[in-house]
Amino acid sequence: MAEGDVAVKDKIAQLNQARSLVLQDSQFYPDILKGILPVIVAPSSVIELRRWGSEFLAETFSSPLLAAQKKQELALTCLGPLITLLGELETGILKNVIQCSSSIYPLIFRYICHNKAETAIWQQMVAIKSKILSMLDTGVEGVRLACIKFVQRIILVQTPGASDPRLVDKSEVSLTIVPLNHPILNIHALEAEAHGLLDRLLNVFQDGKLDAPVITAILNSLPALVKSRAAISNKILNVLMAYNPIAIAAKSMVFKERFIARSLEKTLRTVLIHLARASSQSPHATKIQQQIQRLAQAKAEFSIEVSKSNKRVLSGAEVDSVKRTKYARNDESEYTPTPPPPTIQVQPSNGTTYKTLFTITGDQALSNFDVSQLPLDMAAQITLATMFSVNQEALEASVAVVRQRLSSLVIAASKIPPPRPPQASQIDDDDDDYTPAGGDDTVSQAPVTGAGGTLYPDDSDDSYEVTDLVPTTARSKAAGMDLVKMPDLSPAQVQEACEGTLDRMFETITTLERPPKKERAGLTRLASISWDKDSWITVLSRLSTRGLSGIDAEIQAQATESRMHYETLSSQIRLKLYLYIMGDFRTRMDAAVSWLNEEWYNDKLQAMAVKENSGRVALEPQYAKWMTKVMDGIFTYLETTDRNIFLRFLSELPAIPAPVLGNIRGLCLDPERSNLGFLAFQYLCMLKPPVRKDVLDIVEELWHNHNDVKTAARKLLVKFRPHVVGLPAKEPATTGAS
Amino acid sequence: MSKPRSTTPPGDPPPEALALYPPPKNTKARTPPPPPGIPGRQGPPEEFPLKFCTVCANNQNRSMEAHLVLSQAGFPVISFGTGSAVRLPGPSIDKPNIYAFNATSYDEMYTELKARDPRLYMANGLLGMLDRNRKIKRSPERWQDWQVGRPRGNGPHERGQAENTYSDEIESGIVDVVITCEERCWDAVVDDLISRGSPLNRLVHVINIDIRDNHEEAAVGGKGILELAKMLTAAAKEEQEKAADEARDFDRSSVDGRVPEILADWQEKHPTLPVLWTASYF
Repeated sequence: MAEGDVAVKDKIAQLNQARSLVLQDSQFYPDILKGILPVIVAPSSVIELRRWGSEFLAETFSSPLLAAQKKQELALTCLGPLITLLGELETGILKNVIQCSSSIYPLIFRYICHNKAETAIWQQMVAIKSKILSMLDTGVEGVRLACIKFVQRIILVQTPGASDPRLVDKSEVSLTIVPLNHPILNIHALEAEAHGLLDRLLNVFQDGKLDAPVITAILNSLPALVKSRAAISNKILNVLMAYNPIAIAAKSMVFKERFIARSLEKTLRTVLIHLARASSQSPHATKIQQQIQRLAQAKAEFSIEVSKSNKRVLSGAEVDSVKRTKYARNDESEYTPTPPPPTIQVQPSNGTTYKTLFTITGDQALSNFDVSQLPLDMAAQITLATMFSVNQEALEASVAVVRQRLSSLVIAASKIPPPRPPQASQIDDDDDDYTPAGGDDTVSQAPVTGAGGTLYPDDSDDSYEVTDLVPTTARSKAAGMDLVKMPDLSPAQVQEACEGTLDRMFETITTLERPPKKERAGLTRLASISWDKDSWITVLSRLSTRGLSGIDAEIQAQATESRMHYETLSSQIRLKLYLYIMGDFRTRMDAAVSWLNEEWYNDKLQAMAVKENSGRVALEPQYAKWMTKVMDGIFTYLETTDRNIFLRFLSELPAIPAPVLGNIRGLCLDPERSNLGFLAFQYLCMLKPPVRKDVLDIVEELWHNHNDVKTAARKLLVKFRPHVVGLPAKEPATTGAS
Repeated sequence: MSKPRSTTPPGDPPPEALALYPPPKNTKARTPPPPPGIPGRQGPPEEFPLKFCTVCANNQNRSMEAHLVLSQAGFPVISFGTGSAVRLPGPSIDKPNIYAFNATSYDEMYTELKARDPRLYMANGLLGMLDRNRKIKRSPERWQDWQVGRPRGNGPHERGQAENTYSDEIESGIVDVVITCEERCWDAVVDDLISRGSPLNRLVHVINIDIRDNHEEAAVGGKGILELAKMLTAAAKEEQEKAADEARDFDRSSVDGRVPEILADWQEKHPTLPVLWTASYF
């Protein structure tokens, strides 16, 4: 035995030398592999040799230094030994053999595609495959993890790859490379098998078990399938969307499970983030983002994040132990009896405070609980949860009880004459500047008749009691107290406040990310559903155009009265919008277009309103003014590279005022940007007939007066005003006849 | 990105300048110079069935501390950084020293920083750290540039020039466990593994242990990582011996299934180092 051990040690030492040789130079792989294969699988070989051999096989076919073609040749010689080694029981060997099989499966598959007669080889591969698949569910953990990777390889190979020829990776092995009518490879059977295997993998997300290594391994294997196999990506994504490891883990909050839940959730999130980034153009991107958010929320709710300080962890452990004892108690009593429905007491015990009025439980401890101790957000959560789960009948019953109490209170209170409110007479006393005819009489009468709405008749009738539910005690108190009326804001203050608000709004807008993809909702689109950047711009532009005009008029009047300068709110907003657009006009062109369109529309609305109601004062038209201003701002910075942006801007505006045309003329004369100017003119001539005449007048003038741009101007004129440049006018009729 | 080159000639500062600013005690005591001539791996491979890889942002402080601790204990270990470049603190917060991964060696950084401002870089512990690192391996390596499975030779070009450099190269270029020192790095590693598409089909456990990026925490974290490595190795050996005791061909298991359990145990002992884990593939 001892001799044998020494012999084995020597042998291993020799093998290790061989291995370091191939590690230094991968050229030796074929020779060495050929030499050692028989040694490894010889029936007489000891376990150490088989162990070593399996590791070497796995390493060989994983090596990035060995070309795929070489590997394919080697793989053909290894199938037999692999089958033998798969009969081993040792996890380490099995892991290596399965890793090796995952690497060679695509190689053999490709080989079979090109060599249709090699049935024997394929049968060996199929034998390996079925042996490994049988271990997928029954093997020990380490083996299963290796099997998962093998299954992922099979799915990749046995589903169709990218159909777009531009995306096809020549080295990739997929169903797409299988020739039709292949004698051995049946495309449909192979694909069906792949789908079946995928279902087996995805099943772990639905069976509710927390087999963490298997689940994370599958999670990490799925992105490759989603990204390169369109046929199955939807199915996988749907499963990932529905999976929430926290919900499963939250059931038991043992330390280990919390850790596992955190790891599962983080792995899932990382996978989803990877997919969202990889498929930012696909329709799934938003769905994935939503799931990421849901996960973050679920995580926050169960607070499974391990806190960084010692103290917090301890307090968390306490909570756990409390929970555990709670569970333990429940277990002892088998089940918890549902608490009896709260008894509703119709009559408050004594006193007439709000508390007694609204208390509907008989439980003394509960009614003594001071709710104001609860943090606000918790109170809000409890309230919301209750609202959702409250029993309709119980709610109605309770409301009825409170209503009944109120009315009885009011009846009781009405029996006692309330103290006469002194304010009414005082107010009238103060009002000494103005005394209407018979003033003395009215003053004395005032408490009774003057302000009927706020007074209480001395003798009550029933109808009054029913309609007014405010308890008299409270009411007399309220009558005795008067809120200090805040003085109206001065125009200057309004302006200041408005400016602050606007600054904040624009701050928000600049920080808001543009949504990855805009849905086109067409005419059913609402101005602002989601509070993204575009919605804010819409709100602001509508505020400036339509929303604030009434208020502005009011404050303007006030300001003129006190001879103060007042910049209207709407013009302030306009100025801010203008500055915002100027901040980065290239990316904010959309904002400019939507705002200016709002202005134009509003100008039209105003004009119509004035026409219909001649008494109305027309507001100053804003569109032309701001359009010109925006253009003035842009023109300085326009470059020839901004062609697309600029032309789009021109095309999306409803009207082009004359000063803007003057600006474009300036562009034409700038030697560097002349092209852009003429391009804009040409565009306007072709697609904006209302301004065509003005444009052509300018071009004609350029043609006459500026030699630099004569050729460019001529091109346009030849097309639209041939007579100017001395060509015969093209009559549409004649061209049609010829 | 580019290597800043100082114009000051390299060399030790005059001794009196150093005497004025003695280095803080803790830096010296905490990172003892590794004993010269430590062999890369102690004991036969059976003793250390798992290979490790430590990862942090810069491959300087946390991952290198762990690299040192693990290799001193004899574990096969390599280390990487996930950042875009190596960033070391400079004279002020907006003037970091930036070096390229793989290109600039620890030794070059050490010489350059020492020439530039010996007292500053001695006081903040950078020189001590770089001195330690240059004895471990040649230069910081970037995770994303690592060709997994490419043999890592032990030739002189891979190691530092100094005689007493010791580095536990993993000749096959594959590891079993990756330990990152920051959640950001874990994200980068897991994401990168997905992007690579796992061409090697080889299982790897990726574990994160959150360690703050300063010398003290790195030392604490390094100890924690060593303990974890020992626990994982012990479990792996246990699984192997289970079989060896009973019968030679018995169903010998691997450590893979026990990793979460071991991590949970470890976490209970180290509540200040939040741990995270996933099973992925190279």
